[in-house]
Amino acid sequence: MPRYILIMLLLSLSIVTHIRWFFVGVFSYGDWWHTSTETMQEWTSLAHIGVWRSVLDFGAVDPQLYFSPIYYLRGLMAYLPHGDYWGLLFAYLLPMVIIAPIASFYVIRHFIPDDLAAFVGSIVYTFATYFLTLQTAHLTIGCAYAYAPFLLFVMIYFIHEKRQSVFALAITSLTITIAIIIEPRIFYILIIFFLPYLLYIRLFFLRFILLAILVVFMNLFWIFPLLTAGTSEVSAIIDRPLFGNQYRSLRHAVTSMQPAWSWEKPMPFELQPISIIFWLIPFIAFSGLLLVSKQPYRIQKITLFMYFIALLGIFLGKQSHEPFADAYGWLHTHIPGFRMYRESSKFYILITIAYAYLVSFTFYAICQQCRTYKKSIYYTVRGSMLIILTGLFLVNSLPLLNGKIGTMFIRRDIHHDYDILQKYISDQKIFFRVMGVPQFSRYASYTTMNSKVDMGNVINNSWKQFVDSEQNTNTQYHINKLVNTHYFNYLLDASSIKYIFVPVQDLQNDDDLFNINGGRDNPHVRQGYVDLLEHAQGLHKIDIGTKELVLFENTQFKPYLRTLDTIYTINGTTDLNNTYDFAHEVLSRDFDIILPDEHINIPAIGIQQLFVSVRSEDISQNAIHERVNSGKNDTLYVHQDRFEKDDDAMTHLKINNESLQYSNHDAYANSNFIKIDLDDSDVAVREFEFNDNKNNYGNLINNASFENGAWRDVVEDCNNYDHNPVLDMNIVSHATEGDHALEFRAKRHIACTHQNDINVNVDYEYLFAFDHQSENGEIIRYNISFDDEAKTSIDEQIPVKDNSWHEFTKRITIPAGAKKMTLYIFGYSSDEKKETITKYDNFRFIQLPHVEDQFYLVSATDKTLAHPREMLFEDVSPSRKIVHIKGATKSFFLVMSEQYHEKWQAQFYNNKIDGLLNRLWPFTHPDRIADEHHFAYMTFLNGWYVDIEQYCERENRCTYNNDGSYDIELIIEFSSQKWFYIGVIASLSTMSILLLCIISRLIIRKKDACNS
Amino acid sequence: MNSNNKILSYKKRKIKLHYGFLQRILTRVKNLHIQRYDIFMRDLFIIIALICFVVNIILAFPPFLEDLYREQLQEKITEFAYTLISISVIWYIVIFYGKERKRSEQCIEKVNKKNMRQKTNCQFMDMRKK
Repeated sequence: MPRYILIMLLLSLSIVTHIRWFFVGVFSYGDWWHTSTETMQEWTSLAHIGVWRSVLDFGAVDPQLYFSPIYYLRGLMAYLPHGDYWGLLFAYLLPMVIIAPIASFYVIRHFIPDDLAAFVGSIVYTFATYFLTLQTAHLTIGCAYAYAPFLLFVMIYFIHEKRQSVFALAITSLTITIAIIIEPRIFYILIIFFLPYLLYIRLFFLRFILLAILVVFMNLFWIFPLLTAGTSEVSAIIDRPLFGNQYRSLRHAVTSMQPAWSWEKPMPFELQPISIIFWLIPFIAFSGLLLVSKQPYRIQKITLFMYFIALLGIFLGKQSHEPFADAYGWLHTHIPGFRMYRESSKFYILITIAYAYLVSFTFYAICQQCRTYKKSIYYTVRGSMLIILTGLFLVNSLPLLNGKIGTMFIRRDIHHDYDILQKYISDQKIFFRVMGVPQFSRYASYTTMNSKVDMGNVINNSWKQFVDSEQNTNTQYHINKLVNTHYFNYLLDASSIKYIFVPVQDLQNDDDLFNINGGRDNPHVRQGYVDLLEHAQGLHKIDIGTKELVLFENTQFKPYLRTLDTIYTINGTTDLNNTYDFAHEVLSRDFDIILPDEHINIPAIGIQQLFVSVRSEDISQNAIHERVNSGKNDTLYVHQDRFEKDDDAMTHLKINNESLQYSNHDAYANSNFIKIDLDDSDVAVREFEFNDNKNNYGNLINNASFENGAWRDVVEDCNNYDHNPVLDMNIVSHATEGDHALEFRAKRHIACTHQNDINVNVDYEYLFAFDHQSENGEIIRYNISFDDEAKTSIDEQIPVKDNSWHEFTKRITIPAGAKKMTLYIFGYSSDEKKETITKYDNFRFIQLPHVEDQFYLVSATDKTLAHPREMLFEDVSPSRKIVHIKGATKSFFLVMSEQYHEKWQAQFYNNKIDGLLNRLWPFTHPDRIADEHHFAYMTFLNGWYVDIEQYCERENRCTYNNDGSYDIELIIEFSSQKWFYIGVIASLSTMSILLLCIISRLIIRKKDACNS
Repeated sequence: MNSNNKILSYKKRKIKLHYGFLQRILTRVKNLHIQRYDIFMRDLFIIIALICFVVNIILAFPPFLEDLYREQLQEKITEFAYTLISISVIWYIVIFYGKERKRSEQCIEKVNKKNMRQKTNCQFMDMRKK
C-alpha cells in the first residue's frame, strides 16, 4: 500500500475521532480554563509580556514564563472573530490531531522497514489511553506528547547525521526549544530517553555541547528572569511532595492503561479496573523479544533499546510500588529536576513510545517469519494481525466518538450573565479587582485593569495570615469565618476589590464551584454564600441585569497606589478582630498593618495585644509572663471591663515584678480603655506578668507524661483496613518530662491511643502542647474532637524534621455547645517494610484566663509623618509604574496593591535609569529606596517608607520647591523584568541566526537542484 | 544432507508452523547444548512472563475471584512477569554488547589489514579511529 494512503488514513482516523474539535465553540474542562478574547488580546501587548503576571489574584511571578511565545500567538488569533477558539485550535488541538499520528509514523518507519508496521505503531501511539486522557484537560502535556515523536525524529537525525552540518544543529536546537516552550517537563523526560540512547550507541561529540549551548541561549528569555526572581513561585510548582501513590499500580503501567481511564469521563482520583484487552498489549509487545535475535543488527539494536525504555517507563510509571517501591521516592528526593513529577503519570510517555515501537516490531517480526510460507498464509497473517492490533487501540476512541468522554470533547455555553458582568466592568475604565466567592468562574472575563481574585485561592496564599488554616482545612469554613470578621471589609478595601460575585452554578458546563466548597453536604450552599455576603459589612448587592449571578459592590475600595501617614506593627494575627476594633475605635485609625520583621526599619506604631500569643513556657508560678522590648513612648491600654469584673485587677498585672499603681493612670476619652503611660524607658525589656486568681493553670490531661503507664491497656488500630496490623505501644524511659514517655511502633496500619472525657468550658480558650520525637517517621498527628452538635474536630499533621524532641503548641478555641473533648494521638507507619517509631510526652491542656482585648501595648514613634500634597502615577506595564509625588513635607508611606515580592523596587528617577539602554540593562544600580524600607503591607502587598530626611535632604534625590516641600519622581519596577528583556534579546538573536542558517541552506539546496 | 535429514528438517518446519512457541521450546530442549543454555533460559523467562500475562487475562474475566483479590493477584503476577522480562532484556543487551564488541574488534582488524575505510557496521569505530 502506498505510504501516502497510510498517512491519509491515519490523519482521517485522527480527525474523525476528534471531529468535535473542528466546530467553533468554547472548550473547557478540569485544569483547562476558558480564556476570553479580552484577556488573550493583552498577551500581544509587549508591555504586558513579562515575568510579573498581575491578572491573577494580587499578582505573582509567572513560573510558566516559557509559555509566553505560545500565549503571544494565541493572543494574535484573539483579534479574529471567535479568536479564543482559533487560538486554542491552532496552538493545542490541531498539533494533537495531526502531529502525533504523522510524527510517530515516521519515527517508527525510520527504524522498521515496513510501512504497515509503522502504521500499526502510529495507531498505538495516537490512540493510547494516556494520550486520550491528556486531551481531556491537560492540553500542554498532550501537545508535548504529540510533538515528542517529531522531536525524537529530529534528534535521531541529528545524532546519525554524518556531515555534522550547521543545518542539522540549527534544526535540532530549534525543535528542542519548541519542545521546551510547549512543556519542559515532558522534554525532561525525553532527556531520560536520549541519554541512555547516546550511551547505547556510544556517541558523544562536541556537537552535543554546542547543541546544549544553543538551546540554553534560545531559552534565556525565561531562564534569566526566573533565576533572578527567586525560587519561591517556581518551587511551588516544581518542588512538590510525592502524591497519589494509591492512584498508580504496576498493572496499569505494564498494560499502559492510564489509571484514570474509565471508557467515559476520566476519574483521576480512582484507580480504574483494567479491561481484558489491555492485558493483550504487554503480551504482544513482549512476545517480540523471542524474535529479536533473528533480526538484522540495526533492528536488534534499537529494539533492545526500546525494551529497555519500556521497562524503565514502567518502573517509573508504577511510582512507589513493588519491585523497588522506594526507588521513585529516592529519585524524587535526590535527582535534580525529578521533583517536578509529584506523581508518575507523565512517565507513561516513555511506555507509550516504547510500546508503539514494540507492537509494530512484533507485527513486523511475525510477518517476516511468515514470509517464507505461501503468500496466502502470509497475507492472511498480516491482514488479521493488522486488524487485531489496530482494533485493539482504535477501540479506545469509542468514548470520543459517542461523546461519553465529555470533558474537552463537549462544546460549552458561556452563561449570558458573564457577558453582562464583563461589559459592566470594562465600561468603567479604572483599576479595581473583582473577586469570585467561593471561587472565580472559569468563564468570567478578566484583564490587567480589572484583575481577578479567587477567594478560595487567596485564603490559602495571600490572605493566609488572616485565616487559621490549621484549625480546619475546609475552604467554606474559612470563607465564612473571614467574611464575618470585623476587618474583612478593610481587607477588601486595601486589596482594591470593588466587586464580589457569587458565580452561576453551571453543572452542564463543568462550572460548579460549589460542589467542592460545601455543596456535597449542603445543596443550598450557593444561597448560603449569597446570604453571607449580604450581611457582610460594607458590601451592597447591586443589580446589573444578571439572572443568576449575584454581584456585590464595595464602594470604599482603595486605589492601586496611595500614600499613608500611619502604619501599625502588630505582634501576630491572633485575635485580630479585637486588634482591629482597638485600632479603629480607640486609636481612630485605619487598620494599615504589617507584621514584625527584623529586616525592616520603618517608623510604624506598634500594637501588641499582651498575653494572647502565650506558649507553655510563658506559664509559670500560676501566672502568664510576656517579655517585650521597651520603647520611649510606650502606652498601656487596659480594658475597663478588667476593673468592673475584678476590683483588684491591677494588682494582678505586674511590670518587671512591680504592680501597677492606679495613680499614674489616665482614663482615655471615648473608649472602654484606661490609658497608662509607661515612662520607664531606661529598661530595655519589660516583663509583663498576669495572675488571674480564678485560674489555677492546671493540666486537664490525666497522666500527661505517662508516669502511670499508657492511657489505654492496649494499642488501638486507627486504620484497620485488613486483619494484619503490626502495631505496638510501650512506655519507655527516653522522656522530656518525668521518667517515662509513650512509644508507638507501627509497621502496618496506624497505631493510636486516646483520652476522652476531658472537660472543657466554652467560655475559655486553652493552651494545648506536647513533646514529640520520631527516629524514622515522617509525620506526627493528633486529633481533638468535641461533643458539640457539629462534632467539631481539629486534626493536624506535623512533619518530622529530625530525630530530636520537639515541642508543639497551639491555642484551642472551644466550639459552642461543647463540654467534653477527646484527644487522639497517632503512630504512623512509613511503609510496610520497617517499623516506624514515634514518641510522645508531656501533654498539656491548660485553661487560659480571659486576656483577649484586655491589654494593649502601643509603642509610638518619634517621627512625624504626613501625606504629600499630591500623588499621581502612570501604569506603564504590570512590572513598571511611574509615580509623581508633589509637595512632600514629611516622610510618608507609599503602598501599592500588588503582591509583595522582594524584587519590587522603588527607584528614584534620574540619569542612572534614564534612556533605553539603562532601562533594559540589568546591571545598572539605580538610586532606590533601601530594602529596609520595603515592607509587606497588610502582610501581602508592597509598601515603601519614603524617608524625606534620608532621601531628599541628605542624599538629594528629590526636587526642592520654594515652599520647602519636595517633589519626588519614582519608578516602581519589578527588577527581574530587565533580565527578561536581556533574555529575549539573547533568545531572539540566537533564533534569528539559526533561522538564517536554515533558510540559506534551503535556498542553496534549491539552487543546486535547479542547476542539476 | 541426505534425504532423511531433509524430511526431518521439513517436518520440523511444519511442526514449528503448527505449534509455534511450544514447538520452539521443545526444539530448544531437544537441541540443548551447554552453549545454548543461556539462550534457552532467557527465552524461557520470556515465555513464563508471557504466560503470566495470559493468566492475568483469564483472571480479568468477571466470574473469577472478588475484585480486591483479583487485583492483588494480578499485581503479584505482573510483578513476577516484570522481573522476568527485566532479567531477560538485560541479559539480551549484555550478550548483544558482547557480540558487538567482538564485531568491532574484527572490524578494526579488517580495517588495519586492508588499510581502508569500511562501509560496514564498524563505521563508528572507524570514525573513532580517525
